[in-house]
Amino acid sequence: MRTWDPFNELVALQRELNRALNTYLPELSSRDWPMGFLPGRSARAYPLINISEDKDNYYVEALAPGINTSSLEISVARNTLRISGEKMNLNDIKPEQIHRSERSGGKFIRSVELPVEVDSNGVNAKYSQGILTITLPKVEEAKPKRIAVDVQ
Amino acid sequence: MAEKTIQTQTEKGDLQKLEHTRNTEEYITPAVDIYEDEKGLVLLADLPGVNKDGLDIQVKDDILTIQAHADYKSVATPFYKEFDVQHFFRQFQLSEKVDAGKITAQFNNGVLKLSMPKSEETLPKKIPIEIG
Repeated sequence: MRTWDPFNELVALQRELNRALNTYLPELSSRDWPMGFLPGRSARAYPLINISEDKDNYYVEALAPGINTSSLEISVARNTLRISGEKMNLNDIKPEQIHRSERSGGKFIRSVELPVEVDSNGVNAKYSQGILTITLPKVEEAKPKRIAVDVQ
Repeated sequence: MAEKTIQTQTEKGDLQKLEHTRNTEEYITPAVDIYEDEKGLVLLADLPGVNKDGLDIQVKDDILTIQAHADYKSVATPFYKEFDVQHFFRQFQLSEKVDAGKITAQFNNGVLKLSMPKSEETLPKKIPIEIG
């Protein structure tokens, strides 16, 4: 069953706006718009996340390229997931050596509240291709139960 | 002495934007950092969701093209969504002070690092002094 997803609608709208701006006002839009929605480019939550689920687990995917893996910390308390870490930046480069600086870096922290409690012992995380994938198993009580129907 | 010896070029002229094509695939501009050290220029680009095999870096007529095909597959269909994994495209005009033949690339955790050494003739030369 396909349900109406407001986020999909917003993403589609955003694309339309970008396209319109690029077509009619390229001077104004070319510099800032295509990148304005990337992490670190604007004052909003970082990293950006997608959450999906299946019968047993929640999956949180975070768009976080270039994270210093040793700084990455993931903790779970009841139904709240907390991701913190540091993205490497150009701190040790002298400002006069920098030609272009668009990828911002630094420390970040983000908490995500999940709809149900998760089993903090079974959580595992994988980091590849610049995307952090965290698998959070639902607690036994939160898993859907199949109820058999007796046909008489 | 100024630290920057290589002039930055604007992104106009021959450089194209794939967004304007009729290509059905969406391309976005990756954010980059460019800095200069004694050896040359270093370019860092964020390309999340891209595999090493999906990365295509070319230099032709002094134009550096970075094209990256994202092949990341989500575990399941998200019920809450903030980002889309998208393909990347960006071009840069290279200065003649960069030795295009010696560009090297590294790709780690979704970040591309291109090292572009300065060409031989722009490097400072030490002139030996003969004592007569």
